[in-house]
Amino acid sequence: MDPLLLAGLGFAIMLVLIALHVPIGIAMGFVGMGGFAMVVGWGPGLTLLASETAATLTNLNLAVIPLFMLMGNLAASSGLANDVYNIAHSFIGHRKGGLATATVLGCGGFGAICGSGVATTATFGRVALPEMLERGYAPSLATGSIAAGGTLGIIVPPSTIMLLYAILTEQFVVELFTAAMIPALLAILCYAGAVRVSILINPSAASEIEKRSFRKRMEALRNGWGVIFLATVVLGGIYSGIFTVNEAASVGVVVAFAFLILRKGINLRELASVLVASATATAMIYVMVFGATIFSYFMAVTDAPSFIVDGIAGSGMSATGVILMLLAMYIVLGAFFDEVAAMIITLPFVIPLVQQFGFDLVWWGIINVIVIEIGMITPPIGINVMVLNAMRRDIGLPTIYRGILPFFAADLVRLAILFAFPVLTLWLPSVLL
Amino acid sequence: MGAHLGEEELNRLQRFTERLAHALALVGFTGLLILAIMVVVDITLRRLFDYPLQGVNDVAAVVMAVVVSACIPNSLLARQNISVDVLGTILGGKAHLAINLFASLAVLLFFALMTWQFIPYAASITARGEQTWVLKWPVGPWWWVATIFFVVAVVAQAMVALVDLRRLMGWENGNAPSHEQGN
Repeated sequence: MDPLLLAGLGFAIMLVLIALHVPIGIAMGFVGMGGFAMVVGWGPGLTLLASETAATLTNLNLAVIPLFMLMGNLAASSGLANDVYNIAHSFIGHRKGGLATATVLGCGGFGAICGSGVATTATFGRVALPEMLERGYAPSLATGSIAAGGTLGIIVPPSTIMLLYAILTEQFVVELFTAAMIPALLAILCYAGAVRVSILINPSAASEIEKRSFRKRMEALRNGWGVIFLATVVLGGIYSGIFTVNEAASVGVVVAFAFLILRKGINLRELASVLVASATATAMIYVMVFGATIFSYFMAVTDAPSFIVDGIAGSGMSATGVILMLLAMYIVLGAFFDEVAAMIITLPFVIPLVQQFGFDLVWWGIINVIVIEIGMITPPIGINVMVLNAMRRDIGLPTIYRGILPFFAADLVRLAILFAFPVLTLWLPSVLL
Repeated sequence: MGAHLGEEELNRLQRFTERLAHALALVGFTGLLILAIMVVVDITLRRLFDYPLQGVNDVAAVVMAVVVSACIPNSLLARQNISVDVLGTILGGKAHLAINLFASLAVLLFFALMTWQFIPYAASITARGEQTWVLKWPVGPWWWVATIFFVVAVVAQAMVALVDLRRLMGWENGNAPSHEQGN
């Protein structure tokens, strides 16, 4: 069979398997193995199942992901998220809408020690949501700010998604982390703006609360030193070159573990629960990577990516048109796929295309992460929305989605700015690295 | 009576698999925690006393394969996979249950094939007498441990598929794995 036809057929079979509820990593693995076997024979095809999986298991760059996951879960369990929220609450909580803005800032701060958007959302759903509702905030604004703020977990370094992108596209992860700094600050600013807009539209959505005394503010800062220390050790260590990313992740785990022990004592049951939760999430990502690496082999052997790149390059489409087409594709795929899955499935085609049209892969990585962020709060999948809805069944999905609208608009503004001005993403790495 | 006994044995096997998978995940990530502590000790000794721990990367490379493979059975039992359940939700009823069973069998087949391929892989590494670079630890035994964990993953997924089969056929009284979180 013609390899290109085989690639197309393989892609179609993979989509059918995914529609039939087969986990995306498994669908990619099956098609990758089967397709590769059709080209080079069943022996090598089956061998790929062990050799590629073994290569993934021993990839020390990938080992950073479970370490950061463990660090985030240990930090959340030791109450560091409460601290960062408390600091923001003490300084701006008294303003109208201040608690929602404090939530956004808290999520940004927590994102610096937790690389997962879902974990950030779930943590702030526990930390900030009850207080906002108690203080008379509209459920739409309260949940909207948490769901959107939760997405900061994947744009503020260290980010699991960014690590995955860096590994699969062979980019220098520190460059990606550095490039994400300005977009992450822009995200926090845009979300703070979205809170203001929400209040302008509906002034009764937020209340004003009493201002905390100077002493209380200083107390919050004193109590919150842990999160500042952890973020400084991990990110400072990476950016200053004192630690490699793997070392920084290990140091982060040990520091977060020390906080858990110091604050809560040795609670074996809680520690076991943190370890098992981190293990389960790690396995989920690894299974996806097993499939993605096997699938990439199949794609490479059929030469389908270069065929697509040549086809689009020959069509006369402009570079901007290509990027807009890719963004539109991700929005459409986002209606059916988890956005991370959409990224992983399409990387074998998209990366050669982005490279062919002269775009920087670090810049594209940040744009890709922002598209994933948008997918986390938009229907029908909107994982952060689902997490909040699961935590508070009394707050319906329409209410949460209504609350998200200003944040969604803020995301589109941010995407447009970063698309129009790549220098905002690429300047910092060019100066620091 | 016979059917009832069969169900009891099945439930017992299911509970045993759950406990084993949970224990493996716990052991695996405890190993990761210990590895992180080793790295920190290495950094401290290296920076302060110019006396690094020998072979930390050696240990990491072999331990990570065991750590990750230890996590997989629990993740499978908890159905923690990134998947799309749109078609099943739309169709509902028996069709949804049939789709779930198909997906579970696909996962089972994938892990069964992978485990089958891991046996000659681990055997070849053992036969070649591969060792780590610095500590000269034999690599083979670690891959055999990882392969055994993959066997446990296959058993765990078989339990998941069995639960889905019983649901489809209407044989069960809702005995899903106790920590199944759905997807």
